Amino acid sequence: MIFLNAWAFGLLGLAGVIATLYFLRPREERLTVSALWLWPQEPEHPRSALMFLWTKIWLLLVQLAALAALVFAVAAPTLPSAVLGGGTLALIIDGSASMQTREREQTRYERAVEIAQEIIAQRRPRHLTIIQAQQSPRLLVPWTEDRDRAVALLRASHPTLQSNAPESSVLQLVRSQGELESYDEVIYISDRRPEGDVLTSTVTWVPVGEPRSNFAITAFAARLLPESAQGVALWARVENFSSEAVEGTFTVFAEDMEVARDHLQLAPGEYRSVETIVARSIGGRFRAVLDIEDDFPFDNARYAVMPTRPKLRVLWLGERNFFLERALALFADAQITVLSDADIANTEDYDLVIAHNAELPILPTGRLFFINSSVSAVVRLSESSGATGAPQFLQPGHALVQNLRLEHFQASRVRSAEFALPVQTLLVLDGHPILAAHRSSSLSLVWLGIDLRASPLVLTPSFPILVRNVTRWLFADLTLLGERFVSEEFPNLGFTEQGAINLDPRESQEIRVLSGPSSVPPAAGQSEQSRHSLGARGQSLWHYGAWLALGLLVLELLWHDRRLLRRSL
Amino acid sequence: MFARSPSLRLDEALFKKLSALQLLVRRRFQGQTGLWTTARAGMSLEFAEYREYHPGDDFRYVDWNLYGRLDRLFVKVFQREEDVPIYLLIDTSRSMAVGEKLTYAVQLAGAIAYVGLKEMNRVGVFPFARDVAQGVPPKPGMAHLHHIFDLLGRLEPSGQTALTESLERFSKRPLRQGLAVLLSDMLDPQGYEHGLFSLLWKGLEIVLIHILAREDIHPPVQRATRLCDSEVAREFSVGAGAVARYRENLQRYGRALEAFCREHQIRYAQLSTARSLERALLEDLRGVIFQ
Repeated sequence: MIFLNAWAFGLLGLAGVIATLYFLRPREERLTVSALWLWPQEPEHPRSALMFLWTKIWLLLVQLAALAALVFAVAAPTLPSAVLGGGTLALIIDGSASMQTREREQTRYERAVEIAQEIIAQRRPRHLTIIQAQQSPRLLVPWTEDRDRAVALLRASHPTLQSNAPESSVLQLVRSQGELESYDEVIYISDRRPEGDVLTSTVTWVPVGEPRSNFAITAFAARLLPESAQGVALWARVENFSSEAVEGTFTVFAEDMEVARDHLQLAPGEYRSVETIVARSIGGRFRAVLDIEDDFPFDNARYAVMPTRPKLRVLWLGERNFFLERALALFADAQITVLSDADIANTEDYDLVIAHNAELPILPTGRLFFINSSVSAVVRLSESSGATGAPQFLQPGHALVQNLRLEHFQASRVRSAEFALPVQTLLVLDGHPILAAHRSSSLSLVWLGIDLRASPLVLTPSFPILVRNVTRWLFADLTLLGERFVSEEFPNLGFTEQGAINLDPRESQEIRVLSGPSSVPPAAGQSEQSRHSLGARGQSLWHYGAWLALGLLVLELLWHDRRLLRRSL
Repeated sequence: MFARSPSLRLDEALFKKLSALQLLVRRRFQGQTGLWTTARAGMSLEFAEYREYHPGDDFRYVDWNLYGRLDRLFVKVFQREEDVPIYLLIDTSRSMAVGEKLTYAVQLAGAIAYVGLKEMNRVGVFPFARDVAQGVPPKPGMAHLHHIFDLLGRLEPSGQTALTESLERFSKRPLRQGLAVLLSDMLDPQGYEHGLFSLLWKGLEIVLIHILAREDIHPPVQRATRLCDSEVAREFSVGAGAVARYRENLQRYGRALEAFCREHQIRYAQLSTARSLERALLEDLRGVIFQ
């Protein structure tokens, strides 16, 4: 049993006050009578000293017992969950890349799994859930009573190469298994202190890991130089996160060919930027490698890919538009062929068909981008009418409307459109569609119902963004290359078909943990931290003391006025 | 005037009711001019009866007409209206402080004095405890009521009761025969008999108003209590069980006192301070001191 308010035992000092007051109080009432000689004087009955003592002080003993019971209640006695077993437990294990740091014979993650097993064995929770926390948190063990199965699933888990978990994602996953208040304990095993107000105040953090040496490439980028230079600039940032000076070789490869080498020596906490320029013809994939032995090798290599622009054969129908052509040129090398509306029988030789202010007799196949254009019997446009309302997204999450600003699509006139095809209407103005899309096996169509000649849309930032969205949507298999977001799930660092995948540089810093050696935390209610963060976990016993004290006080009161006692009996 | 002293809580309404009362005096006393009629032969304004002549009688009162018819000498006896001295003896011992018995006695005395003075009698007040104080000597007239009330308002309980000593000393004073009204709790372990006898031998008609407090009759003892005597430095502890025996002793003592009074033609009334003053005066004391 532990006492959450141990200071309450100081109240036992009141026992001295009670005893003093007891012995100072008048033993008997005094009464002045007119004639004492009329009163019978009772003889004193001889009795043993022990009996005399008992009859004299038993009320004092009752009062002291009541005080002790009150102090017991105020001290908040608690049988912790560790003693009782049972209870509910949520374990959160950091699965970010830094947990792969190797320390002695095991990684931090393996140590975290060991600690989690010890906690489960010690707490013996009736229900538990285990969450692996990284950029995309994962529910390792759903709410279960089967501790053995939970341990098995935990031991089978592996850390990821993702960065740390945001608080909101972790909380969302924890709450998916039960409200925070429903857990007796929430334990977060990680090499970094959990961030965010809720996590900080709610969970018990069990630190894991020790400071290790780490030498890392935290940034690596490839940029095309102006055309006159005909070269590619490569820039890298190398940092020493160790507590000792480290030296090693930094090498840059282009398409597996070494293009630069440097010997670096960095003091603790020092960083250095390394730049080099290579010929453009040497290739588009670059790799920077740090040749050094440290405890976290995953940040010793970083990758970069030169953004490339796809070559597109474009069939342009209708009026040419300067702004549209410039926007298209930002994302692709477009070879535009202009044909008359009537000569569109064969469009298979073109990657993209653009129709601007055109009225087509038939609908071409392939990838189509129609601007204020109609197709006989497929897309019919009415006469334009005045627009008074505001444009409105119907599917804000659609890829075609990402990063667009609604006010840029404001127009004074609008034409109503009717589609014979099943289309997704994405943007409407006064109830008339102004952006719609259709996709089938042989046809991908994006239709924009705005006359670019009469609209300020082409002068807003939303127009090139719209063109990029249209290009990406129509050519989903021709992704524009570049560094990929590190938050996405990936098994390995390096080059992929989608681009280059690198470790989040924040993970490199966390090899320096801020705490001491890890250990199993005391059961809830046994540590100061849990007293403040978790409150009383386990079974609280204060009410027993409170009831006992109340009963003793009532007994003392009734004895004090025996008429009350007789009446109550 | 009557409510000047806090212990004399006699209001005007009560005085009006007291005006209808008359003192009850059974014996005839030799007194001065008053409203009382006595049968003592002598000068009077109203014929009462004839009495046979005795040597020494005033010849002026011989009825010569009757002598002519009966050939015997008779003298005329006239009724003479006389006053009765009333001695109010108030116990002021410390036991009278228990349950405000003294206050009650003072109020009773004030009322009796008022009735007595209203009937043109002489009323005097004599506080006593171990000894009898000088008090206010008996005088007639309503103006004398002021002095009586002044004394009553200043009475404080003090001293130890000594009925025998104090009443004997009082009886040794030069007193005219009259009515002695004794207001006391009569709680004297030395007894009351000698004191009362001394008053009787003085030729006084005695009215004993035995005043007991509520606390005397129902003492508030519910558990172990330390009892202190109000007059002597003595105390001891009793339990709640002692109350019954005390009450038994008190009742026995009261019955003995009442029997003594009855035997010696002392008018006796026991009053409790719980009893309202008005009801005590108008109901309980009728036939005892009031007609």
